[in-house]
Amino acid sequence: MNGAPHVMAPCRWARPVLGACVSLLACHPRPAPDPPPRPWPEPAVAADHWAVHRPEPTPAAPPAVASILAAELDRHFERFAAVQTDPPVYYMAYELVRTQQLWIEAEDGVLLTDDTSDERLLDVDVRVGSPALDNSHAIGGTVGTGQGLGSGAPVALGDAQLSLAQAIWAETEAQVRNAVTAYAEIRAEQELRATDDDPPPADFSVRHPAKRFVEVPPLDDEAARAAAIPMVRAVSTVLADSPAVLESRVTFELVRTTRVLVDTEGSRTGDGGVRARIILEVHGQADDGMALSRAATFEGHVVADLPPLTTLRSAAKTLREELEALRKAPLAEPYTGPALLDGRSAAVFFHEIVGHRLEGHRQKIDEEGQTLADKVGKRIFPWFLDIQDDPTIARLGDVPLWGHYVLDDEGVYAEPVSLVERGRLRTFLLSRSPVGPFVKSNGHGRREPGHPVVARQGNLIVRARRRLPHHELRDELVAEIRRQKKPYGLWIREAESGYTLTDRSGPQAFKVNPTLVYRVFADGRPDELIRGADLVGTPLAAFETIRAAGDRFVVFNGMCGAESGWVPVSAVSPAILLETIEIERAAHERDRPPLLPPPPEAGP
Amino acid sequence: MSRRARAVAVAVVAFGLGPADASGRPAEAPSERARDATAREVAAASDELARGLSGLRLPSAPAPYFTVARWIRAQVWSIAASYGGLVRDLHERQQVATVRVRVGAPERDDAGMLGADDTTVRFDPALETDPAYLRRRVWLAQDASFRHAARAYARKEGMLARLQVDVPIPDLGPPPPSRNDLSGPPPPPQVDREGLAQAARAASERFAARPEVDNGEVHVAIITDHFVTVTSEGAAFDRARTRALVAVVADMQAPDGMRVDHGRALHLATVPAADEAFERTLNELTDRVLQELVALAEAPRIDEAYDGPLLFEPEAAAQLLGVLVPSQASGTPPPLSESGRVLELEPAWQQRLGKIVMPPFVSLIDDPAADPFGGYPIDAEGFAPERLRLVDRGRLTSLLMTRTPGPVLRRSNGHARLTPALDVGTQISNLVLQAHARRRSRRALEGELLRRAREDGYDYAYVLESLRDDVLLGPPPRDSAGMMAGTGKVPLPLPARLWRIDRNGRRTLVRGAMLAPVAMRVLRRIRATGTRPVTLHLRLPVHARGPADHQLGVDAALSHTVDVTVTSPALIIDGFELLVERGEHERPPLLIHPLRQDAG
Repeated sequence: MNGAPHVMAPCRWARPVLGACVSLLACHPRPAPDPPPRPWPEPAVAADHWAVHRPEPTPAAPPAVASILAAELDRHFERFAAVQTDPPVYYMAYELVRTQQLWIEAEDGVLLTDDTSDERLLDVDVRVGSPALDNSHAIGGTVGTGQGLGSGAPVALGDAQLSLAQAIWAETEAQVRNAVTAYAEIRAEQELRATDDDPPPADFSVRHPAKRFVEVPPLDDEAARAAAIPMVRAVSTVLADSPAVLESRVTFELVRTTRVLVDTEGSRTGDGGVRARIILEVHGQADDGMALSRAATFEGHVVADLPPLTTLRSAAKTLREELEALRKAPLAEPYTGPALLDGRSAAVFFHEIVGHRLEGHRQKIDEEGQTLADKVGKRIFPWFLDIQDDPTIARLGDVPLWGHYVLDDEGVYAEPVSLVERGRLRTFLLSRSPVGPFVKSNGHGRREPGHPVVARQGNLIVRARRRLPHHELRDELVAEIRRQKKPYGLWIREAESGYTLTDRSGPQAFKVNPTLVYRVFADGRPDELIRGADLVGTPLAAFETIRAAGDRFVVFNGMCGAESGWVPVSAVSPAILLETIEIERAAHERDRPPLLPPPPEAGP
Repeated sequence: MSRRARAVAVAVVAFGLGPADASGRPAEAPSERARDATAREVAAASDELARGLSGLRLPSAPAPYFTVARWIRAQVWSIAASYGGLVRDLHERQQVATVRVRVGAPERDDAGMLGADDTTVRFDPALETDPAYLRRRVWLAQDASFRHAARAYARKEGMLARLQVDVPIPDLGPPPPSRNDLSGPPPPPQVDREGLAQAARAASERFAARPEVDNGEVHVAIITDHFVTVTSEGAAFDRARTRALVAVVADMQAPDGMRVDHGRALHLATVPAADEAFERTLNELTDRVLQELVALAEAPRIDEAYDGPLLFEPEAAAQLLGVLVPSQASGTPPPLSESGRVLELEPAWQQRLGKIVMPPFVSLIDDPAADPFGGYPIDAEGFAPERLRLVDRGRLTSLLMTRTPGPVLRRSNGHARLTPALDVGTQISNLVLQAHARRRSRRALEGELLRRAREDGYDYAYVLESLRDDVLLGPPPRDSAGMMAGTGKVPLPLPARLWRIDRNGRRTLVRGAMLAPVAMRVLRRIRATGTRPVTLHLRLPVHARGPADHQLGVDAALSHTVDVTVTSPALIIDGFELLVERGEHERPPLLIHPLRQDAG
């Protein structure tokens, strides 16, 4: 009935979901010739060594709870048919998600959080009407909760049959009411809309039911905890060791998710995964009041993927030094001109400006900008770029990709999808909501429990058919600066977050928040770090200015938030050279730094 | 990093010793080591508060003159079971701290504005004591709170310049007696988590015996906490508490579609032992809630409004007093806004000191020593709680005072209470209604009730056995029971168990009634009392201005409340109005509940 209690409203640091759309706390790019290189290996892959790992999932026996879910599903579906609901219930699904989590945080050697949690949430999807028009249809330009899809109800941790049955009954009853109410509104709205020449796309596609259960690795959270506590203490001590650091945090997170899905088409699926992550964050303030931050994250599918203590200490030291440098850096000015988006910032760029715009449901909603809806077959990028989304890949070389999964949240097998080939748009990311001529899901229906499924990214991979070594890319940048007679160009080394606006009522724009930006001078002066820059633009214009790509591909892993909640994703990209980008001044807090110096003997 | 230990001379007083643990043995005293650790944190915080007081300055803002830092470390156990399945079983350590800076002077500072709570800054201290870390966090929080206070002061100055203020009320009263009493946290209690979970699960299986019931849960929640307060005046004190809640909540749909809910709780100051006695108690509680819920759903609805006399059984009377008195007998003045004092938020009794507020045969006492459940050694601001004769034979003689002066009473009487969430506000301790006359036996009370009802033109009357426990249940599960507000009147919880009694004395449980908001004047119309007072253990929020603030729900019932008792006999009171609840209800479910499949 209620959520877990809380003694107090914690002033807990936001979990790593900075930014309105995406938290891109990624791994660092490879060292660059100027400024000094970073001392820890970043998850980069040389283009010539594109080792793709698609593990063969280990089959597992269906868990006992699958039978309970299936029995209740059949019972309720038959009942709806027997009472002849109006409109008819034509499809139902139950998805049970168990999340086990370990969360440890420290600051300056001091333990702040040491929590484990274990919960099971039930999502009930009820569809009424018909596949042509059902309650999943967007209302008022939005797809959200309350339409009978996605419930996120806490249920018993064990397989107590009566307890589960009662919860399923209550949620199913609530969802059919929501579905019927939403459908009535949708139907009325449809009758009032002017029709296009093309027939409207259906709301739900056909597919063959899947029957597959996949083993999910177990979680030894006690061992992980025992190792993580001294690690976060030690690394957080290094991280805080500077007067420039006002606040800092080292977080260790280990999450195991298992999912079981049953539906009225006969699908019976189960999969899941483990995610491990270490997050380092530092926060400071410039003398003019601007809030400054630096962060680094390290992700893995298992704890063993995470770097050793020496690497983490080095990372902490570098972040601290970067923060100190940012404090002294001059402010960015509004600017247009050439820029080199390196590693992670390029990945963020593609995630925001193209990834979200290729999510299928956005092509169907009139209130959405539908920037790319009519561009299938047309060139939207330079010929040398390909973009894929492939959730089947678990690793590229040694680098884990967080957007890996076997089955999506509609029980459809994840598929590699070639979105852009030689610069031409080929298709979209699809759930079981058809888009134009694309009537079949490609296994990208995803959600966080409690939300309806929509098409989301998994592992977005940008490849370049024509690549330049990094130093040549820099040479191209300098040449472009000269050609455009600009006082400088920009090298954007790092970006942590961003968002994109796809609603037609506003500008179809994006904003990426770079945190390490350098002015690059054509006359050979050293690169100059600047602060307070936001990268902005509109997608089509941005696509057109891509001039070259590098030969090393950097991976970012993060959590992406959209209509269906937060899901783990990755983006892989080479560095890219843009002929023109626009920088605007970032929000600039004006509060003075602390009025008193730090307390005596409180520093490192 | 060096963390220099600071030697502090402290007067160790054994405050805050928890009551017996689950084994029944007296709780262990805090260790010397624990006390020293607390003392070191206190010293670090004190030093930082002093540094802030002397050093935080802005050119045009007044200087800080008082700062208070509080921190709490707690362990939380939360178990929830439903129909034989364990839905939640967690154990967490949680901690939070607050710092509040006041600028100006006691006669006028930044406080008392609508939204003034924003000047309090919250942060997370370390899980374990760490003086250096705490000091650093206090440094940043104090800086932020000072800025908020400076802004608030400027805004307040602007407002006051526009208003005519006849008699300015100081913003902060005199300090408490000097106090430096630290015990340190006691060792954590033994909690049989597995046993309690099993007991909750087993109790929840009993729902199967009541297929009419739609939903239900059994909850066991325990919070053990240790909180520390340090002020820039040199006060430092701590307290440890153990609080537990065992509750059963359930809901169902009545045949006419009305969704009804019900719940009962055991409020404990000890960790329950997962033994046979506990299991038996939990099972009985579960059965009682289910039986009462089903009876409520099957009860007829009232069909017309009623404004005759009501007989409040002792439980309902105590609940009524718990809703009305703490908020309306508070001495904290209403906040200031651009239009002056927000008089809608002024406690009704605040301007009535010395006046008649209850009948001359009734007195109202708040006695911290009367019951350890509601009692406490010192309040949240360091004052020893005083026994108050709030109402003396009908005349209002005192109010619940914190250190915030009121228009008449200017000093604290030790009634500032602190929740685990670090909310601070006025609240009772152990409230007792004493009847000096007009005490009637049960039979006589009913007779008088019916007689008075007849005088009002009714050949029946109503007996209120209990009110809905909003703290436990949260908001009602239907829109038609939405709370009404009235200018100067206090909204009331829904009746939980309301009986219609006809002239032959026959009682019928009814539902679908709402109590109209009342003015505090209604307490002047207590006509008679029973002879057997009952003491109710309650958990009530601080800062409550009305019942809406009470609708916390079971998961916040410990974290946002303090422990109180209310003792009252049955009361016959005129002046209430029972209204007929109106509204459309949801259709019966299409699906068949798993326990009703055979019948379906």
